Amino acid sequence: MIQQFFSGLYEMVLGRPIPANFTNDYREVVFPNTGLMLFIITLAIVILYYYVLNRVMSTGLYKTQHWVMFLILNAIIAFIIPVTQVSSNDIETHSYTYMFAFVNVVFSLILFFVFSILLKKGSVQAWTTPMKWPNKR
Amino acid sequence: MAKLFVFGIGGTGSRVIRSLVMLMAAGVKVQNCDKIVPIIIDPDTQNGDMNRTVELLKTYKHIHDALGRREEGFFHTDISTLSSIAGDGTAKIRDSFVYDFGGINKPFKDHVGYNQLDVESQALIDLLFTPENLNNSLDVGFRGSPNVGSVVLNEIIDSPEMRFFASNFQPGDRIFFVSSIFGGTGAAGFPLLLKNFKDSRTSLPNAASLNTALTGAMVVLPYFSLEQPAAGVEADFIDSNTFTTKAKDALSYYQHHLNGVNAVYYMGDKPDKPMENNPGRASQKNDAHLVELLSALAIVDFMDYSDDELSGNETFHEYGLREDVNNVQFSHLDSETKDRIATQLIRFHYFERYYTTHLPGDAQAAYAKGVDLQGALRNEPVFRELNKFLTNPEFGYQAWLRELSRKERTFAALDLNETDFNRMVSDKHVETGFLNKGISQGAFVKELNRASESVSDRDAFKATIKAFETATERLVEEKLKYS
Repeated sequence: MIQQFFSGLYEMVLGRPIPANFTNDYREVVFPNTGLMLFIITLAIVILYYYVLNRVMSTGLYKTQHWVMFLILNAIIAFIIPVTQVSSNDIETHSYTYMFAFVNVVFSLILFFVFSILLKKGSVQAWTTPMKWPNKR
Repeated sequence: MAKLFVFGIGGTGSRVIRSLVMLMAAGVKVQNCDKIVPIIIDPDTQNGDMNRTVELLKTYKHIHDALGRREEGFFHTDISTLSSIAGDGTAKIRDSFVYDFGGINKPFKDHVGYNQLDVESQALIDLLFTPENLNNSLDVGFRGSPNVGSVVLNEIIDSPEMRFFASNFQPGDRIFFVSSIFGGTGAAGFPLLLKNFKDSRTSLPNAASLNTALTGAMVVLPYFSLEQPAAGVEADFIDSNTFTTKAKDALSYYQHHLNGVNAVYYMGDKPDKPMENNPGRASQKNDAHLVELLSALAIVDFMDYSDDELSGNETFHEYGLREDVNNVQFSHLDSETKDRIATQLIRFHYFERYYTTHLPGDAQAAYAKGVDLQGALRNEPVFRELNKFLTNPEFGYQAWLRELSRKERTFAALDLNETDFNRMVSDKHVETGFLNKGISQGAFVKELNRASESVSDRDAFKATIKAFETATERLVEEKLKYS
């Protein structure tokens, strides 16, 4: 199910993986691994930002520019994951690989924002970062 | 709803009330009353000391009204005008902190109708008053002449203000007088008002309540001197060389004739460098003085006593520092005084320093963003009032603290020029290290964010003040560790 979800998600944007002889590798290994890693790492970074740095430690990294820095860090990681997944599974590198990495970056931005909106309420120092909405307290 | 009526008589009365307002702003608690009603009595309507105290009182009232009724915190004490205590808008007197003399702008001679008197009466007047007394215009005050003040002030008892005050005086309310003993207005006004309030045959309404009201008085003994003009120079001036003589005479009078006061407080000091000699009007704007700050504490002390404690024999209080030093810090104050004001003033000072210096750069901090503080700072008038209270060069907190540090005996407990929070309190610095920056701007904003978490108020002003109250309390307790 996870395989199908992530394969469907990436192929919806990228189309069928190429070269064609690696389609199954993408569908069975690369897409699910990349999707899962993206989900877990993004969640971890959002938790790190809101709960560790801005709740437990109160580091002062509460400004929007700090949030953007972590967003970019997550995006860089999101770019690296597909490239390393492809090469570690002995799949031939293709322009599709970089398109895949780029789409993963876009997904990382969306996911980071969504997690931020969902989780920021529990942060003491940064519950209004990047914006106050939807929290009202 | 017990009230405390504070009569601030003359320039010293105004200046002590100025210090009292600063203490109230810092959150110093006044027990046994819900409301303070200051009534400033000074015929000199242009008096600089009085006018800036009135502006300060108005600003305080705006801020207090915006924050609403609270049991503690900055600006929590309700300070109201006399007319507002009626509560139903029926007061027929001017809504002001100042007693309205109605513009007595004629010489004392005309005020008493000297020219219409027979020769014998004129001779008696000449015996009691100097030619200067007779010819000086009354709208500049009594210029250090209590003999003039005692005549003019005796008439205010029949004024609408005094009748309104008496009508609204309720059992349980208290009265406190603040006056100097060495000047004109205060020295004359205090015993006169007291005599009239305590006279069982007084024409004032509510006489029984007034007669039995618990009453305190702060009698300020000489604590400053004035520059004297050079010999032969014709100048309009108050002779400060007579302060001690006048104080002795008045004390002697008080000893035998002052009845009905439950607690009398005395405060004075050796005069330091002479101040500019301005007998009245706008130019009489003396720097704030430590004696005035400590005199304001007499009011707090008086209110600390329960009704039963005050109802016994008359008590007399004097004040002494732990050490005779020129730069007075909190550690030089008696522990009772220190406990009353030190942490409150430190917290307020931290608030003022952060608010005026760092807050404009905190647009993205949670405590500010959560209530759209930047928008509120631009649009809500109460923030302008707060700015006035803190920074106005005439009457603001900064000016007050700066003036207190300009004398020979200075109040040097808080350093206005120090930008490092760790070193602002003179007798207690925060220890810092490689990993511990003490009270840095970052630590302050963290505490503000943390404090704002527990603030449920949506109003930007209330939420901001509350956040500062909680944050400064934690910083003083946990970082400064002041005790």
